[in-house]
Amino acid sequence: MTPDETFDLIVIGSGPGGQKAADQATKSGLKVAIVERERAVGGTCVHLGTIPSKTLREAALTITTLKRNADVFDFKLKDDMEVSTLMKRLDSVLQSYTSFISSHIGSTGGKVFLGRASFVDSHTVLVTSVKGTKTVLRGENIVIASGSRPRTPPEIPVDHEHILDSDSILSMIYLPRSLTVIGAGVIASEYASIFSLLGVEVTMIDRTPRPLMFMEPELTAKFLDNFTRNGGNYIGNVKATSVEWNGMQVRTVLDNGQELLSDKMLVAQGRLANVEPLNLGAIQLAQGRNNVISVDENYQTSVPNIYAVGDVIGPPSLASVSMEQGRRAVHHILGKDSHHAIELVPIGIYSVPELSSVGLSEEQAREKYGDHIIIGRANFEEVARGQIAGIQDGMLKMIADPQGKKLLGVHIVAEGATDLVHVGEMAILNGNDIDIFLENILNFPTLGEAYRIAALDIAAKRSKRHSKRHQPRIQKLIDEAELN
Amino acid sequence: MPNQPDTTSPVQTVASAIVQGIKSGKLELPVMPAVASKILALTNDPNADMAELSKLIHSDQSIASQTLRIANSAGYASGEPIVSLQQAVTRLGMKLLGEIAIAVSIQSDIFKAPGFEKQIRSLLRHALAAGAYGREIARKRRRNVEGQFLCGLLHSVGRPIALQLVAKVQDRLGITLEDQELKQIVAGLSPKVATKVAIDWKLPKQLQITTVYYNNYAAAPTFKDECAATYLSQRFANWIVNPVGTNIIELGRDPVVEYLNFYQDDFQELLTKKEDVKAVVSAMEL
Repeated sequence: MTPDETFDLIVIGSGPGGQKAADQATKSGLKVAIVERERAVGGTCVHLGTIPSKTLREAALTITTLKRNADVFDFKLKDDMEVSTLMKRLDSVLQSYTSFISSHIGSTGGKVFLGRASFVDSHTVLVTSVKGTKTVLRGENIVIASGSRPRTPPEIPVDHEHILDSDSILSMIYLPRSLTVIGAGVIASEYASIFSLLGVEVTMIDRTPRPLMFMEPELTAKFLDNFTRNGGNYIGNVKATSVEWNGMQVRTVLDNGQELLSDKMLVAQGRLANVEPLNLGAIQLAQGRNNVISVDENYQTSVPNIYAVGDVIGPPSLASVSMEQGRRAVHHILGKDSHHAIELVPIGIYSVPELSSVGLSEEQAREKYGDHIIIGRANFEEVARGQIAGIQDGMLKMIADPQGKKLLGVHIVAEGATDLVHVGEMAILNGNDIDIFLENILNFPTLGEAYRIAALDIAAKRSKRHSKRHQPRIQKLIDEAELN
Repeated sequence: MPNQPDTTSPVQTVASAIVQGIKSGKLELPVMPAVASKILALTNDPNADMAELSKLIHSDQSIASQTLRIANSAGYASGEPIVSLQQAVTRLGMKLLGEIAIAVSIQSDIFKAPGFEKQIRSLLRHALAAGAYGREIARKRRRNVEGQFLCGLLHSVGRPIALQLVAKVQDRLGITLEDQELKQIVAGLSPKVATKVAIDWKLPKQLQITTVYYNNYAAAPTFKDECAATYLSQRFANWIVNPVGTNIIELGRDPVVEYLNFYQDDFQELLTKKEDVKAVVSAMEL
């Protein structure tokens, strides 16, 4: 097949991973093609995922704050609140963001091809436009960043009318009275808590005993507490045996015999890699479980000149990580060494309240350092800024090594957690001791003060531990009593 | 000028009488007699199923639009706008919905225009097909289906009203228009009627926009995608009601297909929904 155009790099997909790969490549002087199958660049992150859901979340929080303060400022919110009202800013946010991305890609010299990409061979990509026009591109190297889509379990009849997924839920035209959410992962928890905040009667159901099982139990307990206070309900350790639209409501039968009825249902049970149209069979590309593309630490696939980044290679499926993967893949193509592997990945969950963590969990720390690790906590009711901003039900948990020195992990549940966690991330990356939070000045009043309070808690436990050395048997009992 | 012979054609006479009617009168969507009697039967039946009433409301332009109008009127409004038929069903309940349905069937004009039944049946069938195809289009785009069904169902809300007006004016003036003239008048007036209805009846914003702009979706101030999907759904509906007169290859080349980012295989997949849509229309038609 004779190529119509030749490039140093072809990037398939213009989401966060693809964008950053293209960006890095064009900055390095490579001739880059970006293939995007949708009408506009940006990927799911911009059009159906991160940006729209966060816009909805922001609107929900604003409305809640206004409602909470309506009496104070003597005003009344309009009763007729539609979802479209909530999403009013979405169009303008998307438009400006998309045009920014387009102009950015344009200004860096990347050439965008709108169409579906499929492999002809390891250096040749066929782009079929929506009209059926075909363009053959040849690339020295190729980065696959084709993203993912919501997984539809075969036993659940997702119709995008009554039973929705995370794509179609954003185009709901009114707030349902009740919503059943199947799933307990990030997307399920985010939407469940946002809709609960908006007054929708939300029931989350999942096989797991609690939502967000990969997060610290203390954090999820706070999340659940907040969720239930807003009227939400979590039913754990169950599985839906049948889901149907009965003509009036969505009827869900659980394996414990319980029956749930709701106006709508959101199915959030994972995502699937977008690999089908790529014709990977033509290049014998190795794939892993659930068809994700297998890659090594440099994001190189089983075909040496082809790389893959982002959701298409599987978890953690975070936009932030995809961006870095895109950058690193291009670094490897250029023969530059990324100094170290991505080991420290902050996790941000944009539920209400936010949850965020970085570094080791308590369980991981105990496995690695034994049971003598020291844990410090700061409840946001102790933080002046928390009182001022009405964020009293948050918590910051800091994990230190048994000497109470080395910072191992930071876990936060509170509004603003996803920003606040970066302080801890930098401290861990720099190998700072806990004492850095004690010996230096932080603005007051700020939520950052929580770091100081948690560090003080660790310091107190540390000195207590060092000052009391009893008979070994008694010491053991004390130590056991002090286990966090 | 005095003693000048009246050169106004019957078409012009009817058209100007209708324009006057639109300007001054209350626009009514005619209710089909079968629908009216079905409603009365349902609401008088203590064993009637709510789902049955819901199905009925979903199946008729007149009942659908009037339900939305009354549900959002001062007398019934619960403070929350009713923007969907399913929402109306779940929010209002059997009793209230029954009241609305009876009010609609009693207060509305029951469509009585000898010679027009065929046209109006065809219009309603087309509207149902557009609604049902709208669902499939939304599903394919992974967008919410509920609103798109309503956009399809009510896109041509102006046509039955225009027909009813024509029937009345003809009757009053003793004029009978040729079929071609009738089509021209209805086609020419229905957008104006639709615009007025959308505003007068305070239909949900999305419906106000799609009803007015579906034929010119690129110019829509908001809900562009929904307007485009409505336009495509009514093109597919043409294919359902008039398969011989529809060139499907030409439809595949319509810019709206590209606008909605439907690749050739997506479009082919939509074509395969024809029988499903026909089945839905048959099931809903009274």
